[in-house]
Amino acid sequence: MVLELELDFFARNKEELLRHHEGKFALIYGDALIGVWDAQERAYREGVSRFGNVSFLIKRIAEEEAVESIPLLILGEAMDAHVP
Amino acid sequence: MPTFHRNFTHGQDSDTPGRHSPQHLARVGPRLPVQVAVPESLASALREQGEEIPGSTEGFALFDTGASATCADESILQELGLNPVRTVRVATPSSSANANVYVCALRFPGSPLPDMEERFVIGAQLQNQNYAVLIGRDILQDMILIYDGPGARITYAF
Repeated sequence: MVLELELDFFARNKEELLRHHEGKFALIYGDALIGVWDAQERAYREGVSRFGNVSFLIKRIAEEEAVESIPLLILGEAMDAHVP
Repeated sequence: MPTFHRNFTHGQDSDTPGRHSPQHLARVGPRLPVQVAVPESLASALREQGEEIPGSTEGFALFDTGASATCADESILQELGLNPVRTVRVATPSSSANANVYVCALRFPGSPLPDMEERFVIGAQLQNQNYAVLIGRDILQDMILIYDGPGARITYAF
């Protein structure tokens, strides 16, 4: 699973992050929170600057997960099983 | 707000007026040439490490008012060596699934649309539809877009 370690860290610390940083973007690498920014582009720059071209998570700190709507999209191999 | 036109003539589309073809516009859709590349911040980090920077890929970007977020063909993103930065739930008319989100640079050669050096895009399979990118409402929210079918042109301002 993509970013499994980082997503697990986010899930375990979500309540704490929500309490202090709701609406901001967290940069998580491995099982560590690197920082929190207002803009996701700044979080990305920081991640690339520190770690280079490796996997790290940039995630908005929000109660609800956003769902995007893409009618034209063909769902690809990287995506999980379809939900009826 | 400056305004720009793109004309769709027989067999091609361009920024210069020609014999208009509503059929060509209907067939290919409101599109612009696009270049998908490694973000400049990542290119800079790769240069510092003495690593090779993958070349960009060119294709077409379709203005897609139905898409809530911008998408890029995932095979292009993977060829650039990019890593997903998160996943997102995506709903289509027939299904719902998680998709990877990447950061890439989107540039529009021959168009006044400004370069987007660090654009968060959803990785999707688009090659069967001959598009490299779907420009979604996250970009369109800062633009005006007019689809002129009989005039075979699109007008956009930003």
